[in-house]
Amino acid sequence: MIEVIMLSVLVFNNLHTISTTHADRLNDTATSILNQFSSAAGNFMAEVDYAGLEEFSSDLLKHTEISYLIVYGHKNNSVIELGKNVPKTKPVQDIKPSDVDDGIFDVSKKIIVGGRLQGEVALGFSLAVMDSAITHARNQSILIASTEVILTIITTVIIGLYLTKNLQLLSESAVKVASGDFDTNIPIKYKDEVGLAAQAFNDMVYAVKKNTRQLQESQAQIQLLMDSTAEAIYGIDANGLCIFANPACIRLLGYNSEDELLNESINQLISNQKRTNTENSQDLLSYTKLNHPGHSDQETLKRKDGSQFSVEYWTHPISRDTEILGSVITFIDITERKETEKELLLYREHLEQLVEERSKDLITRTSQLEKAYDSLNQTKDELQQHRDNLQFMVDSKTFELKKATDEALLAKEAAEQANQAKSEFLANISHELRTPLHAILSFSNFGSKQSKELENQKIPTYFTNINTSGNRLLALINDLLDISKLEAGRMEMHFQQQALLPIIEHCQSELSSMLHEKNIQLNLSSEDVDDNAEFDKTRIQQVVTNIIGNSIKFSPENSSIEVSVESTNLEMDDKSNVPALRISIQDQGPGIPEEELASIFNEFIQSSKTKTGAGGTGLGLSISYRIVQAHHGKIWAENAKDKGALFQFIIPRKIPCSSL
Amino acid sequence: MKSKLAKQLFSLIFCLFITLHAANAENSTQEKRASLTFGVLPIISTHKLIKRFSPLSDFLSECLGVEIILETAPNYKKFMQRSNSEKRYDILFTAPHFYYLAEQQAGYKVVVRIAAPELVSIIAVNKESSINSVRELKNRTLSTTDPLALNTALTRELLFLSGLNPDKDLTLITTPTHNASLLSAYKNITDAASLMLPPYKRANKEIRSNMRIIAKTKGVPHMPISVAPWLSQKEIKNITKALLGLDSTIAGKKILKTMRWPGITKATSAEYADLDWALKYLKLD
Repeated sequence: MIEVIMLSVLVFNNLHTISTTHADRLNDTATSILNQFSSAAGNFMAEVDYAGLEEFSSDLLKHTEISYLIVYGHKNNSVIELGKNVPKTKPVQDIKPSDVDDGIFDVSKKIIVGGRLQGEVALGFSLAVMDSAITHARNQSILIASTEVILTIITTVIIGLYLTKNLQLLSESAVKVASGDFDTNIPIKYKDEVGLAAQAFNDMVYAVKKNTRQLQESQAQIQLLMDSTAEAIYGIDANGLCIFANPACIRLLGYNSEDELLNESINQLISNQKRTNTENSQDLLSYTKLNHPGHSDQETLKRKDGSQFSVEYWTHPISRDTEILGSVITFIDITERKETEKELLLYREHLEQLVEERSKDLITRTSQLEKAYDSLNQTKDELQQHRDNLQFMVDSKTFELKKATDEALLAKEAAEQANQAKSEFLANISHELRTPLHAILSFSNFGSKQSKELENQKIPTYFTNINTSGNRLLALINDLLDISKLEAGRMEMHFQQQALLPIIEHCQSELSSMLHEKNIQLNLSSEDVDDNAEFDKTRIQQVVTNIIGNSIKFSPENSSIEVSVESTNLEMDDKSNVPALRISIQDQGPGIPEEELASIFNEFIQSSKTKTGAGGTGLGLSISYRIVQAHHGKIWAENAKDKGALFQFIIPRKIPCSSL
Repeated sequence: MKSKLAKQLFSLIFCLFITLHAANAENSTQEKRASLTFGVLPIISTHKLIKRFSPLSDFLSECLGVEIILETAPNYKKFMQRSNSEKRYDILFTAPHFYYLAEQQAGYKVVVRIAAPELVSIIAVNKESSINSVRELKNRTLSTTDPLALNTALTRELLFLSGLNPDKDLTLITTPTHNASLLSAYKNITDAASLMLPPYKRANKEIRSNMRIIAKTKGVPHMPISVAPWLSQKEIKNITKALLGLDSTIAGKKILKTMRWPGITKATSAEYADLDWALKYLKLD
């Protein structure tokens, strides 16, 4: 019945689907043809080529479903009418095939070319083809469904009979197996589902038979084990009533047979004697109720005759899922062991007492030893500290001694150098003093002795020579006086705020004859610098003259000397920076040997170059050095990068108040 | 006295009757023409033509207050047949030589024309060609456009004036478009190509650089717009005014741009009067 209903639903559903599909297809076909036709007809309409359009349209009529075709012009006037069932009036458009009421699916579309309406096309699609297809599909579906119902009924009857017969056979065999006949076997004819079920039944019977045999063997082994073991095995149910006991148990409890114990409560076996160890105070029955294994050696059981004995027991609960069925208790008689334990306990207590006494004695001795050790360590530390102090003192003294020795050596070297310099200076100064003196004396003597024989024109020459030598001698003596004053600190400085450049220009003027003599160009550059500073005009002039004079002496002929003045800062003794003026003088001479740069400003030191012929006492730079120092300035010499010596000195624009 | 008054009253009523009758007659004529048919020569594909001329058609419809039905034809021959024999079009946009014939046969009158230089055809050869003059085209092949097209007429006239019989001394190969005619010579399918000058100027630069113009035809006035003789003077005036007014409004200028016309200018039949030479090339059989 269900099959018939389901088939009916299926047939109706299929018919509905076929109908919908045909309708959709017809709708799609109509839309597609309309679109294509209206697109193609546009040109014909715009060209007013109705003959061409009719020829084109007649091909469309070959489509079996198209019933008619009408093309309307601008004014809704039909320009082409083709087909069998052309309506007399303009047909009303059907939205979908299901709306059709006259058997013709009427559709239409505007003909537009280049955005301009050219007319309209109307098409009629006959539903006869679609209806015929649906009717054919319905008849076929009903025929197939009917055939299927009949075949289903026949098949069901055959299968039903076959299954009933085999199920009956299976039922009879099951009854035999239940009654213990494991040799029952169902014959298998076919390898279908029934055959497989019969095979499964036969396999099951064989497995049951095998398991039963194994169970019997296992039970026999357990019984043998129970009978032969020396341990007592005692089974109780959930209420603590005995359900089995092995021979060892019967014997230990003093019973004659298992029957005497069966259904007896275990409480009758447990002695009322208080347990000695409270930690194992769980009784046998409580382990069963808690459903977990238990063990104790603090239990005492009663024999049938009322005598008691100590036991060690193990309980193992018996349960199925969460239900407690009982437990198996195994126990042994430990009366002898308990006696031995008591003795051992006494002996242990004695031993502990002895150990305690020995420990006390040991602690006392250890304490004494620790004290002695601490004392020893303290003495050792003191000794170490004492030794370190001594070592430090020795090192300090050694260092001081070495320092004093080094200083003495340095002082000795300085003294020797000073002595040597002084000796050289004395030799040199003697020569310098003697040379002009000798000239003065020679020319004066020569003049006085030969004044009468001399030609008149030579006498002024002699006096000029005497004057020159005298001036040279005077300059030398002035230098010596200056240096001695500066050394003694008796040189008076007259500081005044004034311009520096005129001083340099004055020096240039003074030295013009020397410059002219060697054709040396002196270039002064100041580049708009503020040249005002506080200084002693005479002394600074002396410094500039000394340095430029030196430069002229060492410069080759036809060379130049560059003098520049610029603003700078000067670091004072208190590390403060003050505004200052820097005067630089650079020549194109041979320069100063590197080893002499540091000592060139020392008194009595002359440059090796001087010794080679430039002349001088070596006091000029020393005086310059002391004058610049008196101005709180700085003076130094270095070799120029390209060629020649570069002398520079810096004086502050304002002399510190403490010096005034 | 009474009879004089009656006479005067009668005269007044008679005048009023005549005036009203004339007005009604005029109105009835206009009522008959609820729409005007604008025929356009199929110079380009129908779709493009409708798209290009629709704005002008709508503009005229708005200006004249009547519906304008825009029409073309499948080919030149059919178009000429409709304009000259069937007298189908009220307004006619056609080629100068077709207009000449339409005037002769159907009485169309030009009112305006495209304000552009005269239409000229050229004959071009491949740059490497040995042909340097029209006379050297003898026994050669020359690609042209539609046999009825102005370009073909101008080319035939040029050949004729150069002493060549277009149907005997050389072979004319018809191609569907001006560009096709040019490509034929460019690809050495023909020895030379004839086409109008504007499409030649619009052709691909690479093609032009490989071509050489050997001759230019005489010029003819640009494309005319004419009206049918059955239209009233008022209608003709309104159409002329509307077309000439294209230049004066933004919408009109936009339409001119769509049409690719530089402007519209007034034209007379006299400008097209010497196109009688073209008639011998319009073989409609």
